[in-house]
Amino acid sequence: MATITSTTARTLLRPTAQKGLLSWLTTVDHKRIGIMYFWTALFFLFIGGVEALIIRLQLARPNQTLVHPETFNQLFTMHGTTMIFLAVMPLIAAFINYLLPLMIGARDVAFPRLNAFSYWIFLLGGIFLNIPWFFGQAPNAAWTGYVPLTLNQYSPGLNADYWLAGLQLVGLGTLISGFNFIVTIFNMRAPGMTLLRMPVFAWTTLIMSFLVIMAFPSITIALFFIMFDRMFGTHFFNIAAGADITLWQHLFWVFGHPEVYILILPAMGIISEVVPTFSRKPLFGYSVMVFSTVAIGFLGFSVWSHHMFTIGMGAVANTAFALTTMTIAIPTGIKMFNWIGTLWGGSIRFKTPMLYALGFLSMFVIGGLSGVMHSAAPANMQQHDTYFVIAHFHYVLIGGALFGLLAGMHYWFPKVTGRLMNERLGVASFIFSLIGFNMTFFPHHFLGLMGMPRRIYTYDAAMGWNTLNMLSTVGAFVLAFGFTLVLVNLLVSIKKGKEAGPDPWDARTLEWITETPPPVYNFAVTPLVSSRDEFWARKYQGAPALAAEEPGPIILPAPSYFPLLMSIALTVAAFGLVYSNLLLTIGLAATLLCIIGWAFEGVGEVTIYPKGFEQQ
Amino acid sequence: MSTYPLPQQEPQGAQESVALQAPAHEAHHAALGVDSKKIGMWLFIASDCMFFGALIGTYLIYAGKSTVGPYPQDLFDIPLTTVSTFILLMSSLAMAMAVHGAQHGDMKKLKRWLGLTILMGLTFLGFQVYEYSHFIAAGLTLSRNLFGTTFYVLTGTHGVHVALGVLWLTLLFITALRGDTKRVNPVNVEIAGLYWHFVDIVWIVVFAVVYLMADVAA
Amino acid sequence: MAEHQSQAAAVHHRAGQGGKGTERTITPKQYFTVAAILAVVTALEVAVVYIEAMRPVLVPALLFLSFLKFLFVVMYFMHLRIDKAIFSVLLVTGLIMGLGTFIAIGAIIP
Repeated sequence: MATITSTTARTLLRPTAQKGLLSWLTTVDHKRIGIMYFWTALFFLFIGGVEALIIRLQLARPNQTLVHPETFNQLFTMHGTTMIFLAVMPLIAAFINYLLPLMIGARDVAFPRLNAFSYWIFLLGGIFLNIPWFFGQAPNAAWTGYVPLTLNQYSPGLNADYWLAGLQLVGLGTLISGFNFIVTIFNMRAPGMTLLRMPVFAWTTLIMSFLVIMAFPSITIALFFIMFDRMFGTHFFNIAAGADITLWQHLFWVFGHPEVYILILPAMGIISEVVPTFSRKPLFGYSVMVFSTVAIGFLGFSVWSHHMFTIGMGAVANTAFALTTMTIAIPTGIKMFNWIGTLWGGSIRFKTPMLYALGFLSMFVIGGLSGVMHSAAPANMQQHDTYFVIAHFHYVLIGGALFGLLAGMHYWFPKVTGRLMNERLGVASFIFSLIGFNMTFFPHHFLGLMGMPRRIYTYDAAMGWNTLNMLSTVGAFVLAFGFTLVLVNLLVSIKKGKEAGPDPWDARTLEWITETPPPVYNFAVTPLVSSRDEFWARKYQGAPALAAEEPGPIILPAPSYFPLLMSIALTVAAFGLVYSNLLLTIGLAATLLCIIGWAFEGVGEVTIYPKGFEQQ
Repeated sequence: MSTYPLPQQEPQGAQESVALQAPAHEAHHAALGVDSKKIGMWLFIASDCMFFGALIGTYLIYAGKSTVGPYPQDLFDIPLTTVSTFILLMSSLAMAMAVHGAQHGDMKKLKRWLGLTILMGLTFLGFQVYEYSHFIAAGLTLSRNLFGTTFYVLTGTHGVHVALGVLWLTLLFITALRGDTKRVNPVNVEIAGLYWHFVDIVWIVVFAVVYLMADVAA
Repeated sequence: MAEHQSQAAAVHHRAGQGGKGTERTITPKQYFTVAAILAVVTALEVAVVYIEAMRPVLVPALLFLSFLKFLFVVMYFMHLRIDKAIFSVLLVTGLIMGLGTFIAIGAIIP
C-alpha cells in the first residue's frame, strides 16, 4: 500500500506502522493529531472542572475549612492555568487541526512534523504542570503569576518553578502551531480557494494564529525574566535595585489580552459556520465579518493596560486604554448583528449544534457588555479584582468560547465518526449547561458589586454573601452535570450513534465534499473551488464538481519519531530548570541531537493509492 | 440566478497540478507561489520582532536606573565593539553571496562564502566572550545591578541567536561538502540567510541603542 | 547540475514576477556596494558619538543612521526589494507591533 523513499530509509530509521500505538505516537496526520488534541483537552477540562468544583464547595458557606488555604491558592491557580492553556486552547487546536485542511482543500498542514511536535509538547507540558500536585506544591501565585509573588522571597518552593517551566513548554507548542496554521492558510489552499472564499473559521484561525505569534514572545521573555531572577539573582523585578514590578504586568498583559481573543475568535468562526447551516442561508455580511475579525486582531494589541487601571498609570494612559477598549466593542458588535442578520428570515432548525450556537450568541452578549463596563476606568476601580470580573470572563469563556466549541463538537462529530450524536441527550445537556452556567456565574455579578474579592479563601457570615454563594455552588454542580451528559453522549454515540451519511446537516463548506469519515488523504482529487459555499453551490446552484488534478497516487508526508523524541528531550530540559543544571544540559543536548536528526531525516514521502486507483 | 459568482477563468496553478500530483506538505504546489518554509521564516522574523522588542524595551526602560556601578559608560569600549559590529555586517555580505551561489547552482561559490560566514560568526562570538570576560573582571556580573541584568540578557540572547545560526550554517556547510544538492537547495540556503540577516539587523539596533547611546541614556 | 540550474532559473522567474523594478535579481556587485555603504554608515555612527558638536542631535542622528542600515539589509540582503510584497507586509507588521507596544510601555513606566 505504501512505499517509503529510499534516501530517508537509508540514513535514518523511519516508522512504518499504520495501525496500533506506534502509529499514533509517530503520526503526522492532521486528523489523528486533531483527535489526540481533542481527548487530551477533554481530560484537562475534567481536571480543571474538578478543581473548580472544589473551589465552589469551599466557598459554598461562610467560614468553611474544607481545604487548606494553601491548597486553595493552588486550586485557583491551577484552575485558571489548566482551563486556558490546557483545556480551551488545545480544544481549539483540535478543531483547527482536524478541520482547517479539509475546509481549504488541503491534504495536510504545511509542516506536518512540527504539527505533531506541537501536540506532544503540549501533552507533556500539561502533565509537567500537574506533577507538583503529587507533592502538594502545585503553582500557587494565580494564573497571572504577578511578581513579587512568584519571586524567591514569597515562593521559595517548587510551585513557581514548575509553573514557569511548564508554561514555556506549552507556549512553545502553541507558538509553533501558530506559524504552522498561518503558512497552511497562505499556501495550502486548493486552486480557486481565494482568501475571500475561505470559510470564516479559516479566517478566524488565521487572525488567531497571528495573535499567537505576536503575543507569545512577550510572555516567553517575561517568564524567562522571573526564572533568571529566581535562578541567577538578576534584578528584573527587584525594586531595591531600581526595578519596576509593573514591567511584569505589562509584559504579561501584552500577551494576556490578545490571549482572550485567541480563545474567542475560533469560537466565533465555528458559530459563523453553524448559524448559516442551520438557518439555511449564506452568512450575512461575509466580508464585514472578515474585516471585523482583522480589526479585532489589531485592536486586541492596543488594550492590554485596561487590566492595570488601578496601578496608577496616570490619566492619559487610563483614558487612552479606556478608549481603545471601548473601540473594540464596535467590530464585536458588528459580528453579533451579522449573526442575527443570518438568523433573520432563515428557516431555522433547532438541532443541538444550533442550540449551543444560540447559547453562545446570548451569553457572549452578556459577557461582552460587562466587558464594556470594565473599560470605563473609574468604574473599573470598583470592579477590579472582585467577583464581577470573574462573572465577566466566565461569561465570555464558558458562555462564549466553550459553548461555541460545543456547538462545533456536535456539528462536526458526524464528519469525524460517521455517526450522529444523540439529539435528546444533546438537548438535555444544553439545557442543564445553560441553566447551571447562569446559576453559577450570574450571582457573581452581584457578589462582585457587593465587594467580594477574587481569589478569597473564605468570608464572614455577616458579609451578606451567603445565599448567592450557595446558589453559585449548586449551579456549578448543575453545570458539571450538563457537561457530563455531553461526555456520555460522546462516548455512547461513537459506538451506537445513528449512521450519519455523508451530509447530515445539509452543510455548505468544502469539508463535507469528501467521504465521511475522511480518508487519510482527505480528497481523492483536490477540488477546484469556484464559490464561497462550494458544497452548497454544487448541490443547489448547479456549480460543476470540478477537480484540480487527475486521479492518481497521492503523496503524503511520512510519519516520524522525532516530534515525540524532541518533546521528551525538551521536557527533560524543563525538569532540569526545576531541579538540576546537569539535567538541563542533558535535555538541551538531546534536543539539539533531535533537531539535527529532524533536519537530516527530511519530510519523507508515503505514496497512497486511493480507491479505484490501486497500484498497478 | 446564482448569487455565487463562478470564476471567469481557470484559477492560477490549476493547470500545473493536473500534470503533477502535489505532495501534501512543504513541497505542495504553493497557493502563494513561494516555498512554505520561506513564509514560515518571515513569520518567525515578525514574531522575533516582538521577542527582541521586549528585551530592548526592558533594557531602555531600566537604562540609568542602576543603583550601583559599574555603569555603561565606565565599561563600553566603542572601537572594539565597532570592529565586531563590522565583522557581523560583513558576514551578512558573505551570506548574501552564498545565497547567490545557491540560486545560481554554483556549489563552489556557495561553500566558499558559507564557510566565510561561519568564520565571521564565530569571530563575532569570540569578541562577545572577550567583552563579557572583560566586563566581569571589571565587576559587572549578571546580578550586580540592573545594567548587568539587562545588558547580559539582551546581548546574551542575541549571542544565542548567532550561535544557533552558526550551528545551522555549519550543518548546511557539511551537507554541501557531502555533495547533497537535494538538501542544500536554493530555498534551504535562502531561509538560513534570512535568519542570519535578521540577527544582523537586531545587532544594528543593539549597537546603536545600547552602545552608541550609552551616554545619553545614563 | 542541469536540475540545479533549472531550479535557479525558477527562482529568478518567480522573483522577477514579484518585483516592481526592472531588475529581476540582485547582482554580486550590488551586494558589495551595499556592504560598503553599511561600513561607511557604521563609521559615521561612531563618528557622531565622538564629535562634540553633534551631541544635541545624537539620538535622532543615530536612529536615522541605524534605520538606514536596517533598510539596506532588508531591501538587498533579504531581497525584499525584488521579493513578494507579502514578506514586506509581515516584517512591517512585526515592527509596528513591537515598536508600538514597547514605546507605549516605556512611556507608561516612569
